[in-house]
Amino acid sequence: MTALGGARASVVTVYSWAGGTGRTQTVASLGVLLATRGLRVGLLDTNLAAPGLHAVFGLSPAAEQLSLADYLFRGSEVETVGYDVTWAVGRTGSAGALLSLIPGWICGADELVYAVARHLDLGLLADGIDRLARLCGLDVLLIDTQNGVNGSAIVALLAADLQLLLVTGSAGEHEGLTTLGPVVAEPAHALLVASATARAAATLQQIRGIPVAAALPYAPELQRFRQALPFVRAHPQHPLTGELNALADRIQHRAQAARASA
Amino acid sequence: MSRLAVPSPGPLPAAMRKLTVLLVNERSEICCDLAAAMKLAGASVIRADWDTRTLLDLPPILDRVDAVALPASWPLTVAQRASEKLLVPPVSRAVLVYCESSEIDRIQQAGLVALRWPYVDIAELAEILLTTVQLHQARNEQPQAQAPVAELVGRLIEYERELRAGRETQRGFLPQRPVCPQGWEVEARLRAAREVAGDFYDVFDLLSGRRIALVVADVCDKGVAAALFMALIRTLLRQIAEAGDPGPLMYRLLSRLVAGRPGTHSPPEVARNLRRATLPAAGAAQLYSAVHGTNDYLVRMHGGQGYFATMFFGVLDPSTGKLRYINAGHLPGILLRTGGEPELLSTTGPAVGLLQDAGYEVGEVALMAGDTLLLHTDGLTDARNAAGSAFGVLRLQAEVRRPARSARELLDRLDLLVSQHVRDARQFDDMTSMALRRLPATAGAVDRRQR
Repeated sequence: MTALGGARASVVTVYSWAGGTGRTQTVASLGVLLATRGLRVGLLDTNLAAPGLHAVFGLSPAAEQLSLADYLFRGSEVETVGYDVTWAVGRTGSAGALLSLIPGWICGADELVYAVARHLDLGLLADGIDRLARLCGLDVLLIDTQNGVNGSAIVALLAADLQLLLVTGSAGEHEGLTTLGPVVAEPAHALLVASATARAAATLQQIRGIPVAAALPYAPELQRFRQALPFVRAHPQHPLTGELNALADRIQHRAQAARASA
Repeated sequence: MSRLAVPSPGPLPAAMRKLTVLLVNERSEICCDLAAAMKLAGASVIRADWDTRTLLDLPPILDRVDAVALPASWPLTVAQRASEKLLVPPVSRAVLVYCESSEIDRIQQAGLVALRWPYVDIAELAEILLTTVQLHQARNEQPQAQAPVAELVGRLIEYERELRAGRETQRGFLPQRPVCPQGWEVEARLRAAREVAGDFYDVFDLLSGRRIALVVADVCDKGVAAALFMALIRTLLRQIAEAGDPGPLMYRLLSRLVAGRPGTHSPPEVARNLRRATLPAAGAAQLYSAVHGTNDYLVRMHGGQGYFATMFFGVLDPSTGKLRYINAGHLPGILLRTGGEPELLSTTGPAVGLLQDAGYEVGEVALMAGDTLLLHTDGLTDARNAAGSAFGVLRLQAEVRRPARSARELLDRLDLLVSQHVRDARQFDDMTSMALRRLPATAGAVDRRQR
């Protein structure tokens, strides 16, 4: 990624209590849609336990080496472990990448040992997010997280200017979000996204006052989707793409408002 | 620094009550202490303001004493004569030479018993007096009893050897060449008051060299026991820091987030800033868990022994100059700003080993190009001259205001000033100093080219 300096990027953290909510595809699609609007977008996969964002863009640790793990465990600078995936936007940026990705894959036995047997340095992750937001000339930094209660998700949520909470009404979801307590933002800095069912989001909206920004329709195509491509690129006319587009509008609006106030 | 509680010497040998020691004065202050200690040890003490001639004139009072304690400033030949054939008919007396640590080798090589004063406790003093007199009697009255004498001498030699080995081992606990990130200077010194020290310093890498840990610590008390605690504390700090358990810091930060949650009518920015303030900084978990964990271990496992340590533990980000630190009951770090007033980095929590659940705050400061941070122990500021006057905190702070061209120059200057102040007075406490200097931008560029 190119370090352009300038204002701090808006940090948007996408989180879900349960797995299998379509979170990673949502992150990838929102990245493409925001970059299509001309914003410079960084995608960061902090889900080291089950990284998947790279696969949506056809990247593989077999062909490429660097990832967030190189920054966290090996001493690489976080600005140097990203990949330009602007091709997925379908247009090129006038200066540098429009869409960049920092994958979360674990490569080799040493990183595996770090990941499973040592403490992930949460301070280093927080510093990395801060550096990406400040030093890489990004407008928006979208972060994919590991579901459930875990250190990296908590750091990504704490660092967020805007939290996108994907809710599905799965067992334990409501209690889980309560467990996270004040880590979950107040209504001004969070949006609920109902994934597949709107009822759970409506309940949460009532309790916490967080607005429901989108209700993503059930899309069997997403379940069957195996292409190395963000969903919105493969299905530009799908109702799900339409909802994600509206969500991208809200995020863009929030990001620009945050920049203006900064 | 003194320990919290000094144990009583315990039962003293009954034979001590029959001993009379003639103590030849050197400086009254030292002799007062030594005479009082000998009395506490059970001996009768006669003090004499003699010179060498008076002693060699064999005053009759020598008939009444079992041992003579002479100052190390006297020629050792006089002490040797006194222990060999002092009286007529030639009956000698046991002789001890009281001295500083640095003079032990010279005295022992002359075949005399060295008494390190004030570095022995009462029980030890009693044992030395009694053993010296008994050895002397055995040598003079029972020439056949040479075997026990040889055995005792052997034990003394072994003791000295072990102490020397301890000193070497302890040196191995100090970094041989402190880690020095590019664009920075790190210089450290330690001068022990005895063979082994309770002070220590450490400099080591964290997070693959992205952060540098700097520690200056002072374990209460001096000597072997303090040195054992030094080894323990130094190892705990390093090991816990390198393991980097984020738990203790995250617990503290998240507890604050829960406790400080603003009301529903507060501006949303308040809550967002509170969440941002909850984010841990790189290296802060290592810093916090090391100090917190070491304190917890010492209180749990060694709480009854009365040992504790003050320390300044800093974690530096060499790329930004940001230093996060915990000052645990230690003297303030002195941050010398280029062209500005010095800043004092004062305590952010109690000494380590005193209180369970001690709350440590993490301080934060940024070092700019040309700034120097000076850390030291109280051995430096408490260093006393023969008149008993201490070097002093204010003098130290005044002396370091004059800019130094390098970290080494600053510590050299301090060493010289303290030495000039103390002159030949005894060093009572360990002295440790460390200087961390961010090179001015141009000097940094030159430094990089040289590398």
